[in-house]
Amino acid sequence: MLNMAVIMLLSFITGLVGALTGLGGGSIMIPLLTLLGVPIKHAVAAGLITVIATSSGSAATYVERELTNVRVAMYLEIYTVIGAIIGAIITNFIAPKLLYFFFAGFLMTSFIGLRGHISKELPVVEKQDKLSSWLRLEGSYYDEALGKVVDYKITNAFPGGLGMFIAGLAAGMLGIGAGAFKVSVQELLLKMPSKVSSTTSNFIIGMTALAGASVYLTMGLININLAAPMAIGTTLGAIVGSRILNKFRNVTIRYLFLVVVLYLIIQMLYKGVTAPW
Amino acid sequence: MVNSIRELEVLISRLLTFGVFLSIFFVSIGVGLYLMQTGGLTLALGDEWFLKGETVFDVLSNIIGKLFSWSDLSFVFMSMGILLLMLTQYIRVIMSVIYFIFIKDWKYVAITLAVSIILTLSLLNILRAG
Repeated sequence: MLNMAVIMLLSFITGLVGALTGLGGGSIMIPLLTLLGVPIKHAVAAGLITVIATSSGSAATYVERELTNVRVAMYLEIYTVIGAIIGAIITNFIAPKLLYFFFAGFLMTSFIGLRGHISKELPVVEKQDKLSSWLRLEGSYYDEALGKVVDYKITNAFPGGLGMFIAGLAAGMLGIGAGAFKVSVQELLLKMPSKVSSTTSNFIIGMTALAGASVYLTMGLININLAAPMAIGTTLGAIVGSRILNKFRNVTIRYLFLVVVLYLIIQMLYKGVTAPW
Repeated sequence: MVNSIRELEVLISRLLTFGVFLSIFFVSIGVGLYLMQTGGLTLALGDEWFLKGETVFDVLSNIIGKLFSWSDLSFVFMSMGILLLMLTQYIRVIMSVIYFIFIKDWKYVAITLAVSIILTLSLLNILRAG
């Protein structure tokens, strides 16, 4: 039996994990909803509302505490939003089977990449490329776990942008926030510290999910009775998550992220195997 | 520091906080009304619970119309909360453009303007998928 209180509780947990890892939580919520008997398209549409709620709920705190790099986020948004729209258009022309395998491969690459520097607390960038310094992609934040101000520089602005375009494609094609892709690109290519990466991804996914949600909305797929308890639960979870993130070490956040990515890889492979041609 | 956009960060943070709380407030009223009407929290997946309209703005005006005719109140309040959640993100993007114009940071005016245009077109349902 579908009950609002159950949905609220599940959404609370999703919002909490989403706020900590930079994932919107759509890919956690959608399979749960379908298990509970919600048709897949309605689950995806409601999932996008979850992503927006996670983003707004957590970004309010992250931006205020200067963990999110707003400038970098805005530069990257161009790539993700274009990717998302192209993704939504071409998704009808590509076999879903290929799609799932492609994205499983993409996530596996980032899993291996992140696993490689799991114990490194902060990235080191000695020299920024020209575009990154022209766009002033740098920042600093106070790290509560380390007890000091961390200064960082972003590099590889252009390849990083292309990576974000692929993240956008994934979002548009699969109807998810694609936070996992964004966090990976930001850490591996752009060399963001983990906390900045989670929080900047959180900031961006709200906007990307809005573009996606508007498509589902006009297709008449958003069920308010389902979205309402999800919005309440997710927002509260995200608010709680955003208040505790900075107490953890970057390494802890990365471990939590890797666990979720592993789950996503399995999910993508499973869907790839079961999807029709 | 020239690089600092602290005022924008404060503005965005306040906007998001305000948007989120107002949205949760409306949704909660809607859920409360639903509880009173049906005497339980069993989820309804029927057709009457889906938002309808050609664009986001269209859906919004439908809901406001219903609010004025004081009908379907639990649906109206839940919908207002959800639409407000979406709209907050949109205002955030527009507000950033205005801020960068204000501080004459033209590089970022160009960047944020491009994002706003694409997002607006998608909200107006001009870039329809497939």
